[in-house]
Amino acid sequence: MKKRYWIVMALALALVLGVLGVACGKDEPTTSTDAGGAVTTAGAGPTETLKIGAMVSLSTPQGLEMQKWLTMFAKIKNEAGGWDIGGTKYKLDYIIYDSGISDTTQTRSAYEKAVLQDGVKHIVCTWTDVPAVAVTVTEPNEVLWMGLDFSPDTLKPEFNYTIRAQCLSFALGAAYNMQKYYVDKGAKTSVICDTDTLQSQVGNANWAKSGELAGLKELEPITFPNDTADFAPVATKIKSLDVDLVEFAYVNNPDQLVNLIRALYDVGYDKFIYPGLIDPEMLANIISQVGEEYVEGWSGMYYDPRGIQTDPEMLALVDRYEQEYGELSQEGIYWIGPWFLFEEAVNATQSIDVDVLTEYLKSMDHGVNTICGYTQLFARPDVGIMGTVDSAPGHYMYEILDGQMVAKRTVSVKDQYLVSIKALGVVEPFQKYWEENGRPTFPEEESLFDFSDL
Amino acid sequence: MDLSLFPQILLNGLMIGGIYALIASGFTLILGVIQVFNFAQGQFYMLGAFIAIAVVTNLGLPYPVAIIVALLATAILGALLYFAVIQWTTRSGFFNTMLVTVAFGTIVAQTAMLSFGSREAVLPPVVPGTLSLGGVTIPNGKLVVIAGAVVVMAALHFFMKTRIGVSMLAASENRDVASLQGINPKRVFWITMAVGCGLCGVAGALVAPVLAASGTMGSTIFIKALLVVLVGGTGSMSGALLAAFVVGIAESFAFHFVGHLGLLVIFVLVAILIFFRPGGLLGKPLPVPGE
Repeated sequence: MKKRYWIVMALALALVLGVLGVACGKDEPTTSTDAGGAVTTAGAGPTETLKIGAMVSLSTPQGLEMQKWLTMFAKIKNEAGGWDIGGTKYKLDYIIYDSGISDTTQTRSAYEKAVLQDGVKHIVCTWTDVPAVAVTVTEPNEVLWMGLDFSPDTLKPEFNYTIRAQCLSFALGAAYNMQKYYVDKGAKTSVICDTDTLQSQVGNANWAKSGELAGLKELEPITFPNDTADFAPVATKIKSLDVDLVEFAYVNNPDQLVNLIRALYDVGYDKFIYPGLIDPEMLANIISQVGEEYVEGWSGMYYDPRGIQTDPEMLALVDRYEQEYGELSQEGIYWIGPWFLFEEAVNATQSIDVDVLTEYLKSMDHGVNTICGYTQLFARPDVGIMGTVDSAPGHYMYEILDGQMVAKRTVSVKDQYLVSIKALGVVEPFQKYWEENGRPTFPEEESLFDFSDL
Repeated sequence: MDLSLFPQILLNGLMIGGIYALIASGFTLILGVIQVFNFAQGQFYMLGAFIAIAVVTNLGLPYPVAIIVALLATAILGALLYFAVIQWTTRSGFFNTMLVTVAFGTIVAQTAMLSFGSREAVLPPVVPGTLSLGGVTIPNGKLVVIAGAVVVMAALHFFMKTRIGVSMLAASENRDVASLQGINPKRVFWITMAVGCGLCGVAGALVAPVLAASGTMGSTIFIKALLVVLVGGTGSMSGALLAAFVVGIAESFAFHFVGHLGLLVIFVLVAILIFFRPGGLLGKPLPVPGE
């Protein structure tokens, strides 16, 4: 009996160790071994360490992918002997904190650890934290926050160090380009279908506005709980509406998207579907469920720069990613855009001083190239913010032809900016702002929308 | 209401109910016999799906073999969980065991995220196509799920009438008296864990051809399984079966009429039910620690 017990215990221990081995063997989170301030003295090589924080949910595909990218950026800088800033070589220590999924307690805890314990002065890239909570830690402690926010919570004139380096305020150009594509194919009515979250509610309302601008009649969005196990009821409801287009604007969970499309196919929905963000692997999975014919002619977002991005530096980053981690995954690639803005600000100012960087970012007059195309910061005169604190990110569009994703075009920063202003009905304050400060200049990209269309 | 949609919505509910029935029956079996609130139950469902997909796509074995492999693998893991942890923690109380299963579930879920990657995994439809009957569309794959659920539940029904099944029921009622009758409670308990977890594994394997799998699928289904067990009555197999279809159908209709608020409506109805019938439809109230 005793012998049998020990055999079982040994097996169980081996299982647990195996599980832990798998868990720890991959994707080691970046951790800082330095305590104290944001800049600490290191040994040989770079003379100092620059700590940068990122706040992501490590339970989401996007967060895990962002962790890979940001860790890789630090590695590249450090391999080059450190980041030369103002004549000082800095070892870059990118610390990735798990801030949970829309979890106020975990967000506060992660930010307090970063800012108060680890002494981080720059938060660059966020995902699914609670920005309204984040700024209550970053603003009073004079920490630069370059994050993602879909809500107006971080859009306040009194904030000094808050830059919405990734947001949806100026992201409706991408929606417009996509919706115009389907309108040109004959779509007249549409319904947005999405997970029921606070952020998606804001996003969906904006998305519907651009749909109306593109010429679609947008019906009331259909949202489903995140724990939906079977999407047949969702598909049945969509089919009963008899719409020409279903828009999966912000369905971020790949399995949910595949299941939704499969459910629509199963109930016999045979009109247009905008699948949102997918990649070739997901497309192959979708085709395995519904066949190639069903997806022919769909168009959506695309973050893979190969075949459309011309900047060799960005393509080199993709190559490096594949060397480090294997095949490129699109899940985190868009949400790391703030890094490129931060890198540009540091290189331009040759400083890591938060005030210097903030001043530079708030008066930016040009776009910055990212892996996903150009991104640019703009002022928000409609809410009384005259500094450039809100971003218009770039996008790529694809079209599905013969079961393949074909890069179609880049959605320009100009489209993102102008379409958003028009769709959100805030033309007047912006026109006043342009009269006083001049119209912004944009990266050279083909656009569908111009000032004359406002 | 468009009455032509009624049969389709009803059928959608039945299909969802079939999935819930398998998971909840394993959950309620463990709760009823060992009195362990197994928070890791959903993860066995996820593991079953991934194992089935791996067996078919990586090993090239037929789908029925994949179901058997998923059943065996999750059953063995369940038994190991009992031997390694649960048999010790049950002595120190209901809540300690519950917390241990929370920890185990978290480890499995996070390991899945890291091991299987952040991607969805799919199995091509085993029985492609749909069956159309008077405006009602039934995907053939989901008919297989319902049929599979019926077969598994029938097998479980007969299993519970075997010597070991009767021993399970006896041990669940009074383990001391069962011991005096010659029943070895430890043996009964590890078999219960194996059967309960294996049922979830089978559920995962059955849905793999109709639903894309992901590392988070176990966590999302668990809340529904819990709901089903509460409605059906803790420890009641027939209650779980009935409740699974009640919840599935309610969810389908609620979503159609009140959209994303459907789940809220169901929770309110469940709260009212539990208020008037703490034991659910056919079961007994939740075990109170210390009693």
